[in-house]
Amino acid sequence: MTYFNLFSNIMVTKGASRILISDLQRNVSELYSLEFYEVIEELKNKSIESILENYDAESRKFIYEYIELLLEKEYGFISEGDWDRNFPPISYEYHEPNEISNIFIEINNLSVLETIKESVENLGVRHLVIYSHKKLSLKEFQDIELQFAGSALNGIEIFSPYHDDVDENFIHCLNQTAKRIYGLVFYGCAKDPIKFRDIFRFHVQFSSEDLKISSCGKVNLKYFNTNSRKVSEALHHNSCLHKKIGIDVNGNIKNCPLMAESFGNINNESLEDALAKPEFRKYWNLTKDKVEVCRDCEFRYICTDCRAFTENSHKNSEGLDISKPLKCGYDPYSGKWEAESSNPLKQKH
Amino acid sequence: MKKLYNEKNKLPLTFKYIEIFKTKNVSKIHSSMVYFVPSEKYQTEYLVREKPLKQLTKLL
Repeated sequence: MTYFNLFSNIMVTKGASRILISDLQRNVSELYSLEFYEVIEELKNKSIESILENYDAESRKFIYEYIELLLEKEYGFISEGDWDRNFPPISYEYHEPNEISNIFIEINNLSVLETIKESVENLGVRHLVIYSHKKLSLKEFQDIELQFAGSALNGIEIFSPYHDDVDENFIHCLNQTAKRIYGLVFYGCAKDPIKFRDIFRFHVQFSSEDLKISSCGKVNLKYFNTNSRKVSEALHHNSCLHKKIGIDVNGNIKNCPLMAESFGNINNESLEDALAKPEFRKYWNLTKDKVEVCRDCEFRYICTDCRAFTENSHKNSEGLDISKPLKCGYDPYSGKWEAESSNPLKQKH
Repeated sequence: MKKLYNEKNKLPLTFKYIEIFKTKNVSKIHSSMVYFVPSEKYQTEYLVREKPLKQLTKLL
């Protein structure tokens, strides 16, 4: 008797109309039809021979084809006599040592960064994302870096309006001094001032759109991440809000700067105080399995959720919004993506 | 999938339907470069400068 063994790093997510097979080591996901899921499930419990017995000669060749596909894609291997028990399943437990993993802050001026600096250290924040309404000069970019020199931060990403001073020289100068910045986005830029070359310590992107902070929350293929840390977090926690702090332009401390509920103001309360409020963590464990529509979606563990903009149609018994993200155009029941603009609600943002 | 016992009908196979998409290793800026930053909290000169493993914002 021969048996098919699925590799431990292969995760199969069943959706309403398709399945997603994610290779968590190669960081690739692939979509297949639902019937493939049934074959994979049968292979977990029966030998290949006993599965083939259930089908007529005509159908058997398709089962062979499926098994060949599984082998060709290196999703698993065949063993003789029994399943190979030497490969236990991978644990999807998620542990994040830092109290807060990221802060998303909307600013008009840099003074607020001084205010949060100590908390960033205390909480061991890994990433800081800054959305600036103000055009930032080279000195200001460098000041941001200086502010967090020697800090616990692993990386900084900055969204700033584009202005005429931003040219090749500007980026080169910044490249000399920037240490923690891993991404720069200049928005409202009609034409790319420099051809991006892969030579800087950070990613530079120019967007012609006049990006508002409310543009956030988009859901599409480019925002999907197939990697084991991301997937493990999504299996147990909210993939956007878990261990996130948002600070809006007025200094209000929130789960996300775009959400309504505030847990205090940075000018008279520390981030630690806000975090100590039990309500602050209420969305942290709301997984996609609990969100309407998303729970039937094959992308649910590689997608990043949004609670700021939702269809606002469902609440659970604890009063949490469990509606589908508003800016997601995917219908897991038909397996089709709709054009974002076709929903009038979505045009608001 | 329907199980067909002693029947001569083809399975309604949608075998050809496969869609593949790859996601970049988002944690790296360049494929082979690793950058370090000094950190007083962790008392090291070599704290790895990382990109997050997921997009922290979805503005673009």
